[in-house]
This record gives sequence, structure tokens and C-alpha cells, in this order.
Amino acid sequence: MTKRENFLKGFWKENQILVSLLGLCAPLAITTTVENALGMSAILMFVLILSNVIISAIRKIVPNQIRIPIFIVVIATLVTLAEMIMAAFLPSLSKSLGMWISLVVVNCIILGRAEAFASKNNILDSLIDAIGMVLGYALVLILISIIREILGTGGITVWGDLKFNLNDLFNRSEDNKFPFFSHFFVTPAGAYIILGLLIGFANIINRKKVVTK
Amino acid sequence: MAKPLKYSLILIVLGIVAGFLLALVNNITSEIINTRQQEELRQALEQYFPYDAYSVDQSKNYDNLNSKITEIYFAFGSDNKLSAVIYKTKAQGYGGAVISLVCIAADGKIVNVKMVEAGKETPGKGDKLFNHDFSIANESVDNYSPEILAGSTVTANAVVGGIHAAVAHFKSIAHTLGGISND
Repeated sequence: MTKRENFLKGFWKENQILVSLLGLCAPLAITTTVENALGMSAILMFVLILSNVIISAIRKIVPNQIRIPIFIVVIATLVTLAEMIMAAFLPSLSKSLGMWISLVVVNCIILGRAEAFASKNNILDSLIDAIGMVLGYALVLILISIIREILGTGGITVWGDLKFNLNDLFNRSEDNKFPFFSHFFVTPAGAYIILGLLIGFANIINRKKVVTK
Repeated sequence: MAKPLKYSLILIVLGIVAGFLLALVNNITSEIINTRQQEELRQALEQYFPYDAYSVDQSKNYDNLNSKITEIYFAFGSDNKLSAVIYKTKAQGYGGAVISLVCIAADGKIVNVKMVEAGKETPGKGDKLFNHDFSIANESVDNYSPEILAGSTVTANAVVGGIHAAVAHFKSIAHTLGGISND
């Protein structure tokens, strides 16, 4: 595998959400707003990149029989670090993500990449793998959150300043609002449907590729 | 060396390294988090219930405190006399812990209640409570009935539970308030 393929595989071919169906708690739980999705992606990027690099660096001294506990200690340490740093410097984001930050410890993508890739490859490849994987994950996360926030609330607000609302944009008055925005999409059930549809579309495209080959 | 022993040693060393690292970062961040929380609280107090001075947290001076009451502050007027007691209450709402401030004037009238934190509320539902008027301002502590908000009953009831706890505690300490001043 070339370095380019290694980097790109996380975006589509081995996309952790759409193809591998890994780490699905976060895409369902925290994609209610784009802001949360961005915050989650940032934490995951920090943890996954560092865990892949560290685990790849120590892969030769880690005994095979106790590799999983070692990976978990490394990952849990990184997540706790991220949690503390976030609470200190990004308080509002840390509040809105709440317990989901600590739950990154058991996000299967991180342990999955450690076990499937970082423990068998050198540091540079593991770094490239981590960046590709987390960017692919983040894009899906952000996509779901954009769909959910628009359908659920009629607009998007990021960090209070950057915002738009379709009702305001088209000068709809309070009693003449667009009828299709539903609170349903902010609820977990709405998340399931949107995630299901996205996975379905991904499957359709992938199947076509196989057929044309 | 026996394998199990070697493995345990590796894990112990790793644990020590991880623990040391976390303690180090915690040392730095906990102070920042603490001062920021104090600062936020002071700002919240000043913003919602403006008085001339505030005491430090008094909750340690009272036994058998209702578990919903987390902090108690005395607020003083310009004459350094006690003007109000502000309770910080915490109860379980729909999306996590609901924290609200209940301010009761020294003369036994409720000044108001303000929800300051509500965990992860559903956008468009529970978060409306941040601006909700519970209709208890200027009511006597002996006769008040908070108005909840339809559609977010669980969270509203968490706030109301905090109000009841604060009022009950205020009544129990009302006879001691006369002698308190800011010195």
C-alpha cells in the first residue's frame, strides 16, 4: 500500500462509520449540533493520532499477550488528558459534550486502529493512517450533524457567531414558517434514520463500483 | 523471569508513568478550572441578583442540608446588612444535572429563580427554561406556586425541586438571619 492509499482509505474505502460501522455511538449521540460534531472530531483527532503514534512506537516492546490492556491504558490516559485540557481551556464545549468525552476511551475506532494498524506498522504509516481515518470519521460526523441541525432546528449555529436560519434567510414570518423542520431529527430516532440512509447510499455507490468493474 | 511477573511489572510501570503524567496535567488544569468556576459563579450572581457584596459559600456551616442544595451565599446591601440568601441547587433534569440559583430576600420574599445550567438539553425544548419565568418573584416563602413549562416537565420540575429545597432551608434558618452582617 502506498502512503497515498494509506491516507485516503479512511475517507471512503475503509470509512469507519459508513463501511466498517465502527464507533457508532458518537455519530448517533453528539451530532445534534454542528458545534458538537466539530468538538468531538477535535478530541478524536488528538486521541487517535497520539495513540497511533505511541502504540506504534512501543509496538516492539509490548508483549503480545498483554497488548490490549496496554493499549487501553495509553488510550485512557490520552482521553483523560484531553478531558482535563478541554475543561480548562474550552469550557463551553466540554460542557456540551459532557460524558461523551470520557466515552472516547471505548470508541472502537481508536482501539481498532491500534490493534489493526499501529501495532503492526511503523510510526509514519501509523500517523498517516490516524489522520486519514479521523478525517474520514469527522467528515461523516459533520455531515450528519449538518443534516440533523438544519432539519431539526431550521438553521445552524456554530460558536454563537456563525449562524444562519432558513426561516430568517427567506424572510418567513413566525406563523408562515417552513413546515418541514421537525424536532424529530434532533432526537436519537432521527439520528438512526439519517445514519441509516447515509450508510445505504454508501452501499449503493460501492455496489455500483463492483458491478462496473 | 517468569512471564506473568514480567507482564505485571510492565503494566505497573506503564500505570505509574500514566498516573504521573495525569497528575502533572491535573495540577496545572485544576487550578484554572477552579478559578474559572468561581469567576463564573460570581458573574452569574452579579448578573442575576445584583447586590453590593457576597459572602463565600456558607453551606459548610449548616448540618443536614438537603442534598439538592450545593452552595449557599449571603448577599449584602450597601449598609452591610444581609439583603438576601442565594442558594445554588442541583437536581436531575432531562439532559443531566440542572443547576439553578434561588434568591430569597431576608424579609422572606422570593426574589427569583434562575436556571444557569441544564446539562444536555434538547434544543427547542428544555433550553427554553433558561428564559422561563417561574412566576415566583416577590411571592412570600409561605405562599408561592412555581409555574412549570409544558414540554419540558422533567427539567422544570428539577428547578422547582431546587426552589422547594431552598425555601425549606431558608425557613429553617430565618430566625438566625437577623444578626448577620458583612464585616
